[in-house]
Amino acid sequence: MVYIMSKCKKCGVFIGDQSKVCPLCHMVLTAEEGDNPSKRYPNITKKRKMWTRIWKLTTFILLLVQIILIALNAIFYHGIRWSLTSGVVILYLLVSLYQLILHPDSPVRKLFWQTVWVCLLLVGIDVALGFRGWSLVIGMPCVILSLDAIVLVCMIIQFRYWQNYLLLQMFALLISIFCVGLWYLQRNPYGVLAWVTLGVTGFFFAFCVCFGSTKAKNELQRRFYI
Amino acid sequence: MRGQDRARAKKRLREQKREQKNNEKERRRKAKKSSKGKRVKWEKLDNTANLFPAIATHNMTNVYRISVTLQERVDKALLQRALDELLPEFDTFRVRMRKGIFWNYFETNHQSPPLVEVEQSYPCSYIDPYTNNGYLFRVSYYRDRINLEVFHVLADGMGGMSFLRELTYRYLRLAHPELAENALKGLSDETSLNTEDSYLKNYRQSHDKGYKTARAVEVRGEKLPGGAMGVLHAYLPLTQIKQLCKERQISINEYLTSLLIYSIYREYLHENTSKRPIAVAVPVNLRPYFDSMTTRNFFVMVSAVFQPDRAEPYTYQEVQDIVVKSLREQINKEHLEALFSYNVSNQKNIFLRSVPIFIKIMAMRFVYQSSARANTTTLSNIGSFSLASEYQPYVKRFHGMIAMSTGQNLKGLVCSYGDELVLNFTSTLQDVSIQRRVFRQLAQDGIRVTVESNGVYYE
Repeated sequence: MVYIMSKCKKCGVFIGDQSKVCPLCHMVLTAEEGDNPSKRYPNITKKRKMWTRIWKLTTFILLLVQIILIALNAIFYHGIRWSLTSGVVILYLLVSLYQLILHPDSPVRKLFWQTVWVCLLLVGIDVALGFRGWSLVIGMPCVILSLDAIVLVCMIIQFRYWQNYLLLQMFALLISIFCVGLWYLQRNPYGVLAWVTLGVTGFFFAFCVCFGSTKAKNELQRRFYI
Repeated sequence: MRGQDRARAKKRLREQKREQKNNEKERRRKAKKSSKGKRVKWEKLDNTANLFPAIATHNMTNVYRISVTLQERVDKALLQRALDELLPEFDTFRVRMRKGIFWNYFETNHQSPPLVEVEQSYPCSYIDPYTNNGYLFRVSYYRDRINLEVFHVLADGMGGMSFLRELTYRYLRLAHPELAENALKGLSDETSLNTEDSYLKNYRQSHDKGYKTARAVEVRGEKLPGGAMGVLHAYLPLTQIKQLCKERQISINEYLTSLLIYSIYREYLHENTSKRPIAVAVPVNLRPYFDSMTTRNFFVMVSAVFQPDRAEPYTYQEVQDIVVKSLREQINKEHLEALFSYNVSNQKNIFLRSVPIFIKIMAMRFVYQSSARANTTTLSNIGSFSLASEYQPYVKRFHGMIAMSTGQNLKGLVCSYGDELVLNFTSTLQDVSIQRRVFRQLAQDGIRVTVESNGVYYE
């Protein structure tokens, strides 16, 4: 059996793969003696971006729902702008869906951003309902205490990499210091909750750093290397 | 009957998936067991590597691919085994990237090595640092070709070549037990495991900004449908090219760079004048100039510039003379040192070092965007692959390719093995007139050109 390599008369080049036309000028090829050409690359089929489509569909539906709610709020307005609350919740759902499903990230960063979004969600609902300040003095400390519990569980599950959560603990500590700062400035009547949050978070962080020894020291050294 | 065949095929697929899952569990268990109690070392990114995580996206991946074509079909199981055995010995590639408050850094990755897969996406696709078990490279195969795709943050061409060479050796020893009896086990003495930041080591004093920001000609056109990437390889006899370059008293790099610029001038500018120059970015390997053996990045970009500023068309010889002069003026040790010293001086500045990383990323993206369009295209020469004599009968050729970047819709890469030089073009444009002009000119210069493509230009 004679194997052939084609040559393009126009371009003066040999074509090394299965083709009846030249890839450079699309002239029909003439056959010459040579190696058996074979397919060099696979056919790339367009991947179905299922999750992107789900996210786009969800976004469209939720935006539609919000528009309807705003319209209903405007028609049946009795002094409370409740559609703002639903808007804030829908925004939180969309951002969370995007971050958790479409945007690959480490578990630590996902936890961090979820904490930030939940705090912003609570503040947003508080603002929508006339800002009484409960989101800062009750909501945030509760979020931080929940975060401490989640981090503890994650550290137990991923015990080999527990030090990855140290930065997240530092972030929780900063937020709890902020809550105590509000009490100090007499903006927070629920001082006990703020101090309990600070105490629990601080104790947890100090425990990890003291008993983590080399691993904790290395982690902090690498993260804060200038 | 059709229903029965379908059911059988589904059952076969289920069994394959179950077996794959079990194999993966077993690999993870082995990786966990072998990494117990082992230290997690860390190292900083080199000066150039700091840029890549800041600018890498799905459209601008900063991934390069180098491939080896064997004389036989690739066995997936053996290739996976070769990778599993090689990676623990190759610390350069056994890392994951982590974000610090001020800098990104590498840390030892004790996860099981990435899964070897059949090639099923366009070359140089995005490598997500949070998938692929945290590894910053990918190994795939198709028929008789093994592909290694590397995120540029990890290593430049030399580092990738070393890893691919060792992977090829390891695979061939598994596929051919007679090789394993005679050949040396372990890593070969051609391989370096040095990971120093040679930029910092060879920095002496600060210089003014060396990279250009004035915009160059941008090759535009209708893009290939579906986000496809077109690949065109040209296989050229090395002796013919060397003979030709010797007659013209220029290097292979100078010849191909001037040929590419002339092709852009002819086919894209149609020999018209242009306010913007045609500039080809040429990465220069700094290792020979500074006696370095690092496998991390150690290169700078120089620009071969041609300004078509006269109405009368330039001849090919005139373009070649201008481009050769432009390259020779820049490729000397002093100028190369000045180029990377500016970037290193920024890295050493205590005020800039203290800026949090998210601000650094925004600044790097801004600076990159302003300088990326200073080049029309890139032509990278990663040099010559060499193999130990006992492995040569099993290997047909090597080639490589690089991903697209801002303002550059066509890029080239040159490498050689044995008596064959491979000139590869990657492009997202439908029009191939520039590549056609290059290959035709090569044929007219008396060089036998064999062209292959990845099939997108036939559709």
